[in-house]
Amino acid sequence: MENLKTLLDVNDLNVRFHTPEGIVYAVNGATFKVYEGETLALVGESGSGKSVSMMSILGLIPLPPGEINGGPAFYRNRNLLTLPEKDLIAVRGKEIALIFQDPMTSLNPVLTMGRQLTEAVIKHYHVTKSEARKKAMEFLELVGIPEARGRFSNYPHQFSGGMRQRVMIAMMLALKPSLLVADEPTTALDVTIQAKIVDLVKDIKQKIGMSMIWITHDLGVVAGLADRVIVMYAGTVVEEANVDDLYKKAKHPYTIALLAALPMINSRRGAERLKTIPGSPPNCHHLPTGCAFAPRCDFVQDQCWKCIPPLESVADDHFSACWVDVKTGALRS
Amino acid sequence: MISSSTIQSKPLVKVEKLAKHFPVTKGTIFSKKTGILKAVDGVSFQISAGETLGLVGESGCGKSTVGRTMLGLYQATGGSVEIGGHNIGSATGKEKAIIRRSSQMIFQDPFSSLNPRWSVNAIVSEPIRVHKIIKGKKAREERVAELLDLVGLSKRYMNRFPHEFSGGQRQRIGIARALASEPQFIICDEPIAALDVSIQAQVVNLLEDLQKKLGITYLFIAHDLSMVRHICTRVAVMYLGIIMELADSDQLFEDPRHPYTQALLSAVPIPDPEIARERERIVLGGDVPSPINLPGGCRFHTRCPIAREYCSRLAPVWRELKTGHWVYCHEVEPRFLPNE
Repeated sequence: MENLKTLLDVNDLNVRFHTPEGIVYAVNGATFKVYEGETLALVGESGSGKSVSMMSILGLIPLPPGEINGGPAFYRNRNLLTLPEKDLIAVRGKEIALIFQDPMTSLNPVLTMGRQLTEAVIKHYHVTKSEARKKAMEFLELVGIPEARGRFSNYPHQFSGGMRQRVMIAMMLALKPSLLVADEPTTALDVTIQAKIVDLVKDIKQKIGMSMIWITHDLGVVAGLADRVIVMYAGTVVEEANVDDLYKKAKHPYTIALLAALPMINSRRGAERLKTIPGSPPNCHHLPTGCAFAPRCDFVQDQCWKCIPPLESVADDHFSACWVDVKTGALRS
Repeated sequence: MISSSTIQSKPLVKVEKLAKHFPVTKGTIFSKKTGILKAVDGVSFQISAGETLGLVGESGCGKSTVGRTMLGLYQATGGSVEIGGHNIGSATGKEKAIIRRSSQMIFQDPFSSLNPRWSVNAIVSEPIRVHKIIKGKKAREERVAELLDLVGLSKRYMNRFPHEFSGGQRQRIGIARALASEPQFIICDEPIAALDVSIQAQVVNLLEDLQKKLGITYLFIAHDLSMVRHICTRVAVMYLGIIMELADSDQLFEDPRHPYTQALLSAVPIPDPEIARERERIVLGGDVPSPINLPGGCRFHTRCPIAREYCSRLAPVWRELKTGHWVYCHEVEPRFLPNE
């Protein structure tokens, strides 16, 4: 990985929210990098801080109730956490683009698709309306929307979920970003549509040579998409590895348990019981003093309750935050 | 565990040409019927006692409507449903009460399917009160404690309210409520879709344990095909209100015959990077047509990779390829064309 250029470098990011019920510790010391041209998957269950960490870097968390500490988070040598709003706006969209889970709520329901698309084009390319129209039409065709000309005057509700997500991708394309952050973009879609969107994004990524962060809870999609995977739990990175190592040689007990809990479509019925992870994800109001996964962990030791394990190298380009060597069940030296 | 080959017993559930059409109206006061949405358009299947039938398909294919119509939550437009020898459509008074007691439903969303103002005790004991299964408050509470224990919840939770529980725990409360009337048959409508991955396995194992312990028959409605393969004995694949293929679970996943099933299965992500890289996908063109304006002939012909010219005119016959393997297609070998 040394020969690759770092695009985004996030260090010790902490995000908390002040709520009437107390402080929610959403992200707790997340550290990760994104290299140029790669697809990084950010995997975790709901509340693991995967979305919040990206949102906070891009200044999309309202402060207060949010509070961001730690850092820096460098994007091409600029610390996004201290960048003035004016400069951040220039980064957002043009350099780092976002697509969201629900394409219905991220599109304006009372404006035509054409209007919303041309707006993005005019804003970022400084062209006239008719030129913008032409360009927008090209993008729609590129993302595979048939009869783009006719659909231009349609409203979002006249599109299906998969089509709306395509339009979102078309808008993103108009910006030609260096980094695309896709936050559960296919979770609301059916599997056949999901497969098409994944293919489309992969294809576009290749064409315009961008990097991508794919935020998801679905380990199935990640396997066919990512180069590198980061697993988050209770707001921290617990494991980081390239995609093959993560699925074949997972080192962190949480990753191992998560993979074992998945049924495989190519294994026969009733062969064995699904492995479960006991208990439920942690309450981010009161995180344990030690490792947040300790109460649910099969390998737990005394030390796990006392101090938080750091993210350490366990093999080439493979990091895990765990005191225990899962192979032997003993503490790591 | 009951393997599919040993199930020869009389079917507990019989669904015959079930249809549910919704009127599409325009205007609010002087509303005018402008069309018909054919959500379910003639589905037939049987479920033997103790087995789990999976009903899968993409959103809008009518799988949930099938479940709801079967229990009489919607009035069927056509066809018949028989559960334990009682016909849902023609049942009256006492018979209806018997059916309602013996068949229950578990819903997808554990947040909106529990009354937020009711305690766990009130929620779980409601079926016991309504069906007058146990008399006396004290005895009912004991039964609720037993049911909570059965689904893996402490009886200490009895006087708490739904908002105090996590999604997985709420789903357990929903399951306890469904079990309260001692049903033979439970329809699970996407019971794990709203849960986290680590919690899904817990709930699925619970459903399997309950089946072994109590001999309950399930209709498992889901879109997560990997989970369906894990839990179901037989699987039916729906598309636009019709079952396209129905077979033994292993048979369907290992040797899918209908082009739609093949495409659907090939799109399911597999959590293994090696397999994911090598796998070939069958891509379907276009979008799912609107159920208000269905294509003629076979309703899948607009997206079918092997469609012939006559598929747009002739509706296929629901036929059995080999024992227990049913398909709705002309072109699947051995080919079969109805007369024009």
